[in-house]
Amino acid sequence: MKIITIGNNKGGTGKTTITTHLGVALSKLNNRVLVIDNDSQCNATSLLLSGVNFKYSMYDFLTDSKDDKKEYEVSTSFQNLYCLPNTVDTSGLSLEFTKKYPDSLFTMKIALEKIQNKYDYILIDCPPTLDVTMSMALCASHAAIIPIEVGSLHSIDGLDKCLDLIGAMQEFNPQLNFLKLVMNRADKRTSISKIMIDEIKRNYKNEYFETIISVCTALQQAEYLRKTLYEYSQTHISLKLYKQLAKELLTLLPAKG
Amino acid sequence: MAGKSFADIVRQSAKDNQSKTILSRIEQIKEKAKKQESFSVIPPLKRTEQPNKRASKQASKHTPEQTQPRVREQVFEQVPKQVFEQAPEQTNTQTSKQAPTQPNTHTTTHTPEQTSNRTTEQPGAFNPLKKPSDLKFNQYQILHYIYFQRPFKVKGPNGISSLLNIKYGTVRNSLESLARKGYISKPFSINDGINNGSTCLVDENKCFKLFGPTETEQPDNRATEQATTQPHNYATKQTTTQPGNCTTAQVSSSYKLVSKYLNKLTNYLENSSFWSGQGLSVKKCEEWIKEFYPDDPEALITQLMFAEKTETVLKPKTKTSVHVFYGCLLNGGLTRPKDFEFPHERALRIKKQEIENQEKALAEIELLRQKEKMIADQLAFNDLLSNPENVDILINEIENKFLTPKTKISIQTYRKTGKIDSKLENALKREFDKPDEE
Repeated sequence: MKIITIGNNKGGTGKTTITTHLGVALSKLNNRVLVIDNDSQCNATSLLLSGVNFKYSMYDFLTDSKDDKKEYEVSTSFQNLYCLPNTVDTSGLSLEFTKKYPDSLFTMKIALEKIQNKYDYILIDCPPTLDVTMSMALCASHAAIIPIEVGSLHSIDGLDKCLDLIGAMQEFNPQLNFLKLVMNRADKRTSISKIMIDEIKRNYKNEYFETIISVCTALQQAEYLRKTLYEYSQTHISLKLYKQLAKELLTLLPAKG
Repeated sequence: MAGKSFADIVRQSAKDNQSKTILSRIEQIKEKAKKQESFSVIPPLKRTEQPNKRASKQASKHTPEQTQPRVREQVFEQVPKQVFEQAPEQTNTQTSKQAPTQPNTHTTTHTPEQTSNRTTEQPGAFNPLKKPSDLKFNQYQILHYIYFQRPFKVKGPNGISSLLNIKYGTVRNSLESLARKGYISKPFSINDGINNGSTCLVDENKCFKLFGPTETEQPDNRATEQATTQPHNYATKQTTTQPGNCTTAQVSSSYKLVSKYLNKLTNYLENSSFWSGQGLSVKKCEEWIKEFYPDDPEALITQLMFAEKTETVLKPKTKTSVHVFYGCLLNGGLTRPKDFEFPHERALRIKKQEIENQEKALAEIELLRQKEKMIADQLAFNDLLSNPENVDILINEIENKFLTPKTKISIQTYRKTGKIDSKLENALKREFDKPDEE
């Protein structure tokens, strides 16, 4: 079982899209996957559990740590893929967590211990902030993936800040590792994308996934309908990229090992 | 003003707080919470425990000497009552109501120990292996019941139907069949005030061989039977019905098993292409089972199956196949022949083969479909090339994308001469093959 945090300090880099689509791709490769929506914007929840009513959310998961019998995870329309949904109420918890810092860093780690053995991969979608919420996820994780938007220099700035936080969090969680960065929304038609890809490859040698996710209008269309691309267009070429990314992840970080 | 990033704060706090200490602190908090919970749960528990405490207080008032005899008393109050309520009545009625001609052993032979033995060793015990070939298993069961229990009932809770778990219609048919085969006379009704139901005459010669002696008297006829059989029937009811019920309950499961096995053996011998012509009877097989496989009757069928594929049994040099097979059994049985398959193994192989054939057929259909599709695509593309309007539309789409200089020249050539060169044809084909956007 591996827990992976997906986050970046910069918003709009495709954290949620990569988390959900990577989750689906991994589940389609016969892995039991749980996607945790750790962002109180609840975007991952709306993508994976659109129209689904759920009883418990991340709020209950983080606060009712005593109750072992509750089923926090909700099954999605994909086989082997489950989602731990979030609600806006969770944003209120951040104040509580800040008060109880640094003890609160271990809240998610302790809560996950009850359910983690049911899954091969747990993907945690994080908010675009470097705060206790993301630190809790990093404290519970084995690895972190940082998506960056090819074409936006700000996302590379965000990457550096994230790496800094990961380095700091390793003091609390020695098993945490920065896995690799994912180049997302690459528009290979533009020269700026080509330049940035070259620069990233040069500056972060061996620190990036070989798979580069291209910009995709269908993804936006799917998002508009609150669907994943897997549901919206099952034969879309971008899905091959997510599958490739999932395969790369499986080789880099096997579930058993 | 120099502030601290969150990462710096984390680093600083990591220096002050080791993760182990934090986790142990959390554990302590959890334990505290648990304790608090357990405290909050105590009052209702106390309330529920009160009656138990009262009970234990009462119990503690008694000394061990007092409590132990009490328990014993309770036990003896219950058990002997049941035993003595039945036993003395039985013995008394048996001795008092027995006819003087009844042997003295009557009262002493039917002890509970013997009734249990009766299922296995006693002469009256039901032995499925003794079943005559002209009787079906149900008929044999019913005959056994009637032989020891007359008058009998067909319906109701004490009827043959429910006691032997045989359907009412089957019991009626079996009685008719037994009458036709001469084992019993046609059943008739009896009602002497105490006993009522059906009764019949039983062919003692035939049944004695099968079941041994019985104390059940034969009814002479309908007119005299009320006068003569009344005491005897009553006595036999006391003696035979109870053990009889006991045996049916105990043996009912073995009935089913043996019945299943015998049916299997009979079916096998009837349907076997080899053994059906060899003069091997079920009776013979039953003897072999007793001799060689008393604990595992199925083993004989397996041996018979092996024999069908064994050369020495199939083509005996001197004796018959049955003799040779018996010789094999005497030597410990036959080993599994090389090409032998049990029916379930054969069925599995056939199924596998069938699935493989289906897969092959599917693959061929798929191949043909692909070929058909390719031809249809090519035809459609040729149609497209023959229509200049369609070509122009496609060229316009191609021109909207990035074009290599060579392709641009090809398009210019097409516009000048109307001829499509291979470069342009490839570009058109690519555009044509591109799936429509959703």
